[in-house]
Amino acid sequence: MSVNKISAFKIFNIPNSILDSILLDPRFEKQGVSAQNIHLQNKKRLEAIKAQNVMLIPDSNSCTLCGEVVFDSFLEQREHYKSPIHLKNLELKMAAQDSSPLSSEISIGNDANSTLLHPKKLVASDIGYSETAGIDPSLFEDYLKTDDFIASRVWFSTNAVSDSVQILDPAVPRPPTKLTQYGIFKAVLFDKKSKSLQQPSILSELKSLQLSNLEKNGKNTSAEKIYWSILLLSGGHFAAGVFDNQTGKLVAHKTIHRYTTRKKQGKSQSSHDNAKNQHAKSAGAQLRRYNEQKLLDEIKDTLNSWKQYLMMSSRIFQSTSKASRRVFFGHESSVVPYDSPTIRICPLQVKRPTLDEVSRVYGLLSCVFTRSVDYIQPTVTAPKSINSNIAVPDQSEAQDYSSSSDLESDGTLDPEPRPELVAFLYEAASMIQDKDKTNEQVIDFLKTNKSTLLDAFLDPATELRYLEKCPLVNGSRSPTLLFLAAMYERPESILFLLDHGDDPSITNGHPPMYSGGKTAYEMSPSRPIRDVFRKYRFDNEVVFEPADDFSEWNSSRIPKGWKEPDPVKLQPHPQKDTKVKQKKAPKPKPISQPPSNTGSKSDHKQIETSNNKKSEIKQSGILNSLKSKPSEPRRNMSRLTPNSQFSVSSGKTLATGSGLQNNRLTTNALQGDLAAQRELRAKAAEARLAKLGGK
Amino acid sequence: MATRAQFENNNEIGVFSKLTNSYCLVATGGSTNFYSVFESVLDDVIPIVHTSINGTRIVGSLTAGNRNGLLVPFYTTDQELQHLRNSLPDEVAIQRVEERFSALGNVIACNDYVALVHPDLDKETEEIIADVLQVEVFKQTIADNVLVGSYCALSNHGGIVHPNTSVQDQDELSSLLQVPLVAGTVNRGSDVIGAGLVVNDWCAFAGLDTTSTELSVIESIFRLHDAQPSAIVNDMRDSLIDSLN
Repeated sequence: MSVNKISAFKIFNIPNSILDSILLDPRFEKQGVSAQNIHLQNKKRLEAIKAQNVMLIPDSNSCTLCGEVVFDSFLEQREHYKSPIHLKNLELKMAAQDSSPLSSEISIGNDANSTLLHPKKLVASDIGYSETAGIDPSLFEDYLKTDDFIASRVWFSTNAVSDSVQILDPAVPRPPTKLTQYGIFKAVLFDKKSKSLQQPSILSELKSLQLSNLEKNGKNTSAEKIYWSILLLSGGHFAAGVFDNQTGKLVAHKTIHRYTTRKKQGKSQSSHDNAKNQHAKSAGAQLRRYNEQKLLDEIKDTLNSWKQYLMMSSRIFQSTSKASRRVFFGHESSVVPYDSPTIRICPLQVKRPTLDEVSRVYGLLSCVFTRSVDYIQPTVTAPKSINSNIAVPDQSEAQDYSSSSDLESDGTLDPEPRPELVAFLYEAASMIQDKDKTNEQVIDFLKTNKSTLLDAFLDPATELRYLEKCPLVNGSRSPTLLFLAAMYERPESILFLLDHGDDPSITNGHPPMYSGGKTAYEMSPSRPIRDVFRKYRFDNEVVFEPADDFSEWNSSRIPKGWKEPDPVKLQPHPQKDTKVKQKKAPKPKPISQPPSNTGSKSDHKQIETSNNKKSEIKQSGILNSLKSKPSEPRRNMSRLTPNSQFSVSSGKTLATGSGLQNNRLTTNALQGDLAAQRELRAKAAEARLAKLGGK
Repeated sequence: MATRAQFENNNEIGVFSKLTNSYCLVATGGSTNFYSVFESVLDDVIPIVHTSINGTRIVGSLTAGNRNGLLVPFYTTDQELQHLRNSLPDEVAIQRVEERFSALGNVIACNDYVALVHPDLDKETEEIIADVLQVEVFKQTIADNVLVGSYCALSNHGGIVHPNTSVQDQDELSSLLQVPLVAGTVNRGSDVIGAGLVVNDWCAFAGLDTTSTELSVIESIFRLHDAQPSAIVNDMRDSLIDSLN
């Protein structure tokens, strides 16, 4: 891709040959295409070299410059490279590189073209000065070098491929290798404010800008909008100019400079006053305040006196700070309504507003840029020329363009969540939240939609993990289904979700200072629910912790260790409490575990004897599921069922299987036999501890 | 063998030195370290001449040469010319060139058999090049750059050209020169190959910033150190493709 250049013609008099052959191919509007192409080519080349391996010198005895002439041997090729034809072509190519590639080909009926002048210093006496006819490209050199502004322009290709090098040997047809593209500032062509509304085709917009159209219509040109206005305001400097597009002359201009910004501090006095909420009383402050008001008044006066110009302007470009965007046309009596489509934001970076700057901005905005890109062979669908359907703006084309214009896409790589998964999660959330639904209904719903649930948990889109946007959740502090299940006290659902990989270590972000919020465990409203989590961890954690005590369970903040709940503790009983604490304390040490376990055993005997009905009822759901679970999960650790890959959400330590689920279901039948269950558990615990001791 | 070197904290060693198969020119006044890099490789094989051209140290940019001869710009002083005559082997012809483009190193890229030159070079200069260096001369651009000497490095075994050179141009050039070419960079991505790299048939010196991937491409394409050009695709493919993506 060659450097951007400025074409010889203005936006107002694009030759019809170009205008008629404009293609809107979204591919060409992307700057990066050819860079990718280079990589692709390099790759291919390396592969080609590999294929040849020995013979590394390709025998492509040809000359691209002179139109793909092919020679029999490299000797002939060498002869050709010394031939006058080749040298002539080389000369032409170089000449084309030096100047605009179009200047030699397109003759525009613009006599002023020959006088490439620029107002180096435009003083008030020079107002009649014609300067738009041609623009000295050197003025925009830095501008053209930077790629920053490429996005602010829209690039057109024409189907008339213009080759900068003429073919001297007409016998050899030459495939197009370079495409010339024309670039125009987007702000010129369409109005950002009315983007949501139906957009007129860019092409028709461009056509309407052509001055030749006006003449053809034969109307009185004074009634037509023939001016462009440029209004610049920054830091107490105001510069404005109205340009006649036909002649390119400055027909009206005004610059005002006033002392409004605070010395060495920056910012205007009024914004400083607003920030401090009090008016500084220094002499300088009063001066600046006065000047600022005066500046605004003067601008208003100027614009009012320019009423006829502004009304006849087809574009008004304004460059102000965002805050003062309403200065020019924001008030009631402004000449042009603020939301008028003629008012555009100036897409250029503007230096200190002066008359020079105004004419520079006008020159840049009204010029057509050219660049040449490597020709890419069109794919199956040949680029359509919209030439035929200008009258009816092609909606699809327009949309094509708008989608490729980079205006909407923020370019982040975050994957979009699949809508059906989002809908499912929201439904599940509402199920869990619905107080009328029984636990069984919820779990049934989850079970029937297991595959969708697993899909949702495995989806890379982070939005799926967090339900903040769910309408029912209403932004409350519950980012995942697990939180909801915990908060609405649905133990079965908690177990089901944990089994299927809902991450218990996700925090809800409230309050943020506390390690990013609370986990589902910490949000659990009651002890039974917390017990579900603790039990789950105890059952599913690997017995051996790594030496560095790293466990992803820790980040879920579910306490380690588990003891069968002690119903006695539910009643205030200080002695018991202390006893429990004593037992709990040595728990992490494996050696001291047997007594605590036997203790828990005896505790359970007490449960039966005391027969605490209340606690039994309250805990029945959970406890059943808890107690009914034998030590099976331990074995599950080693034999991972095929499904287990779904449920393993946090790596090595969190491993359960759907076998576990089955176990739970089958063992539910054995609920009554609590004593037997406990025996099993105790045995399992002893076995585990024996194992620990052995190691 | 490819070696990294730096001339007074500057990586563009091609500007300050000229390496051919029969002699090596280095600028005067650099640190001893710069010379010892050259001496360690070239000592007792070819003469290393410390010189200046019209008092400047950019001898690599200003001169062009190969095994057969050396071209110096017209403003080379008599003293410098005499010094060069005394130092270089007798079979090397030295010639002053009256040419508008006086930075001959930037506008001429040559090996012992062919030379690519700036398209605007004088006809007379072209003839001098052909006579003194005993090469075939081709006016050429590399990736639309006229400074062929700056944007490519050539030896009798291979060549590296500007990274933007299209594949077709590379193929054409390589068939024209009859040496394999690759598009590459030196000095951690610099496209000014000629300034960052000096090379002859058995050794190469690149700027200190040159990465090992770049260096291995250099070694392969110039067949230094028993490296074969095919290594670029066989052994180095992973690192190259990785860096391309």
